[in-house]
Amino acid sequence: MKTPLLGLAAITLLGAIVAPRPQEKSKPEAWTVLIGGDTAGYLTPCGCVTPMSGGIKRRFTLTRSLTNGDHTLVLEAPGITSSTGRQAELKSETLAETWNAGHVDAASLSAQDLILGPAMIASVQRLSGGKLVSTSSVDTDGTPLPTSAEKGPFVVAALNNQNKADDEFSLATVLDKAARLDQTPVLLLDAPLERAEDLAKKFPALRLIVYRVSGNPPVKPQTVGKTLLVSPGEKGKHVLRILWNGESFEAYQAFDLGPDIKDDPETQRLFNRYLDRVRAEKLLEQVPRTSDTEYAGSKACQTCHAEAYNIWLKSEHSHALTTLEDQNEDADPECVSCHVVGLDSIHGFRSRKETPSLADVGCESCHGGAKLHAMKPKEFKLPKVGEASCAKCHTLDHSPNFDFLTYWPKVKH
Amino acid sequence: MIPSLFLLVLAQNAELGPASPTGTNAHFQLGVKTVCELLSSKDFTRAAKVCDRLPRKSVTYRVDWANVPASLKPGFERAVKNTFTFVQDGFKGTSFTPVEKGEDILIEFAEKLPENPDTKIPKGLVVFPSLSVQDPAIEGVIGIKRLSTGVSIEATHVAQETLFLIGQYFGLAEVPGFEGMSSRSDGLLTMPPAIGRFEKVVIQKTLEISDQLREAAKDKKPLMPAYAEAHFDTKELAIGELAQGDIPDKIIGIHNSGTIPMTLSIMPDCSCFRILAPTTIEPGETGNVRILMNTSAFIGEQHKRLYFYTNDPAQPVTVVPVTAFVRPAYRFLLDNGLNRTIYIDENGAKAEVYLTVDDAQDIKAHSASVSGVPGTATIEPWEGELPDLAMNEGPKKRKGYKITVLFAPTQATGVVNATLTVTTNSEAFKYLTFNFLLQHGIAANPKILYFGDIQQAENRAYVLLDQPGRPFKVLKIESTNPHLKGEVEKIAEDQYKLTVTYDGKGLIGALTGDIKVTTDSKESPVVEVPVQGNVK
Repeated sequence: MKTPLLGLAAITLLGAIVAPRPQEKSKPEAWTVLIGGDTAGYLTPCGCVTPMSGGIKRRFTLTRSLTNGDHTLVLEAPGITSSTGRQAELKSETLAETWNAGHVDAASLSAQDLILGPAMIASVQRLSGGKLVSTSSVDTDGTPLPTSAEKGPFVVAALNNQNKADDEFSLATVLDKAARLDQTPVLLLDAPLERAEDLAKKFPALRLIVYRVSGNPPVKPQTVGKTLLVSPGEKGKHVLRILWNGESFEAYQAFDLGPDIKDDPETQRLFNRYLDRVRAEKLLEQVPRTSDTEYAGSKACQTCHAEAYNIWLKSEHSHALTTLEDQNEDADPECVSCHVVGLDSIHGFRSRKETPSLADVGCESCHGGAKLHAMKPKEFKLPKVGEASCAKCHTLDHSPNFDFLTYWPKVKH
Repeated sequence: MIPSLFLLVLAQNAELGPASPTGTNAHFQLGVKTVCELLSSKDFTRAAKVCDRLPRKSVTYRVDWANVPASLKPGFERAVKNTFTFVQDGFKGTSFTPVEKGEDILIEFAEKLPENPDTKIPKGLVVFPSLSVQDPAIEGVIGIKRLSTGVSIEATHVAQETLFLIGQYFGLAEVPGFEGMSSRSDGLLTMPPAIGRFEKVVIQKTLEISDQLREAAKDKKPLMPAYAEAHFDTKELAIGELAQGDIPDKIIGIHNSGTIPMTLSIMPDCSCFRILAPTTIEPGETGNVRILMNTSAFIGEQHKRLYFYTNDPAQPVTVVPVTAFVRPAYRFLLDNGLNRTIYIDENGAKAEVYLTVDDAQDIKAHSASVSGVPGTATIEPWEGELPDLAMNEGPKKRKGYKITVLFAPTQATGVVNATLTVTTNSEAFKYLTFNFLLQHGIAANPKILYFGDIQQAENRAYVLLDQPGRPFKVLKIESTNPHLKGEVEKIAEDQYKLTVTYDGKGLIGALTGDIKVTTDSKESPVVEVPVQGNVK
């Protein structure tokens, strides 16, 4: 009796191995989706006034800490640059390197980014490790960008809204494929909420649309049908986290990249290299000089305005360039312009060595060029200046909490 | 108002009790209010008992491990213990002692907690504050399985929840974001433990108030409850569409139906706001918060926030979202889209730029000038149809000015910047600037071929060499670094692709070199392309 039973058991076991198993619907896995980006050239908060928000160094600390192991999709909303020129190119290449180092899975271009030109976009793509996606057709000089990226259950498309009909045709192609493969489509969109709503209605298969907005991310995300519409805000100041439970997105959270978040060491290394490149290329020397204002230097004011001079000497303004020198940012024209006198003038600041009296924020930063006034004070009087002269540098981005009534007493003279 | 009047009558001669500071949670503020009510009705015994539930420096705690799987317990145990030690070290004078019963803080665990109705995922922590002597002051139940899929938490999450519970015991209000002891997440967020500076100040204050009340109960000193009660007439501000530079002026009214002046501080998340608000609102009064928003520095859709902090126990922090759409005052547009590169030949170059102005703005352009490169600019009124790609707008009718810029011939080759400055009659938008890139001869794009971090293996990258509209031929390619080799591929008569290959045999460290391209171009007989990288 033993043998037949053993034989039966063996056949049954073999059957269990060979025969196709009934389809077991496995429990869907949870995924974390992290969305940053829309950097628009703001690699770092200016750093002169707290509390500044944003910066790639904080962003990648946060994304690393929010990562849910392999089950994390890291996205970069469109918006690499907002300007042209060599510094914009260096920033774009640095940003691309951080995408590679920071494990970004897909990044996208805005229409404005096309200003970088095909060769620079190709450079960004190479340095990022191929993270750029463009479902819209983009001229990259014979090296096309992938129309979508895939990770886990997701397929990521990206539109930069150049031609609505073409964009929608290309998107439909990606969505058709996603439907066949049972993938979850996500769209990075270079357009405002209105267009996102429109696309969500036209393409209900889209489960997540990342659109662009000025200012902060909305407090609560919108939904159109089953599509969640979110935006990380502008200038890389926030990171969004959403959870995908296998069926829907949930637990939306927007994180402000405030000073509580430490700098990511790897991103810091890449950013230091960017600063070295800016210095090596002598971009400070290439700043367009659009004015011919002549300056006397703060020291020249001391003779007649001793009291005001002494107040200035004790103020933060009098060592504004030192602050940048301490951070190795004294060769960066974007920073230096607000830390010296007259960077935009052919007679203005060149370097601490060449024009020492124009280093730091001086009397003439607010009162205007005073060379003639210093020579003939009665003949050439300087106009009275007020809040508007502060606003040239204390802008919303560089000095978010600037309040004239609070700040003025610190330098009142 | 009736309870307040009742209390006022009850404690006609009583001194006013301490007011809870902003930044404290509802539990603490309710505790202070309850103690004062008992003191004012001269029920000193019960007041002393409730005082026992208010924070003190010597704290006892107990952890119920019943629902924690054995495999997780050792890690969780270490996390809880280390967190209490962390707070003890970070806030001098505090001590935390584990006890078997009668604890101030009780930490428990549950396999899975009910769903959070806002986020639709299971709660990660449920807090039961209590003023009864029968219960712990703070009882927290930590959910082990998180998210819809039931992912198990780790020790680091237990540490975070423990830190939050200690903050709750000390009376800290929960705030969004990263605020050390005041923030937490239902998900799997992990951040290093920290005690914020502001948190330390608030804790110091809650300890002082608690001691003051304990003293009053011991000395049988009647105190009248001091609390504020805020009623906002709106909790969101939708400003609608505005022209750039407009300063909308909005008012939010806040009524105080409490017994003491309501302290109010408002923090906007943007310096574009000017807030004119009373710092206190008397009981029974309504204070108007005037909100002015300066829109001169930004355009497009705006989402901002105002944070209202009050000493109302029920709503210590109220976030008021502000939305607006700001139409740009002006735009510089090109009829060829976004390409700002202009080629200068032996006769110089001509460029046309359109300055469009919003109808609501009284911006009139007076003059235009060019700097960076010698040139002149003339300005004339214009009306026509153009797209604005940067604003995601298709072609539409616009009006403003057409600016024609003539650049003088130059001998320097490569790409240089030039700036167009338009002077207007507007005080807010007096100088408007636009940057061009001017190219003469052959230029490499990017200017420097940058490999970034690469391994010791073969690697390729390219730049484009072009001289728009002026055909040229490449005659020779040389390299100053034996590990770098350049090759060209003709893309068009006026454009080549220069591919540089690193052979992977160089030393680890900085990779530098120049690729020299000899051409038949009269303007650029030799083009040097620097190469940079870092071999790891």
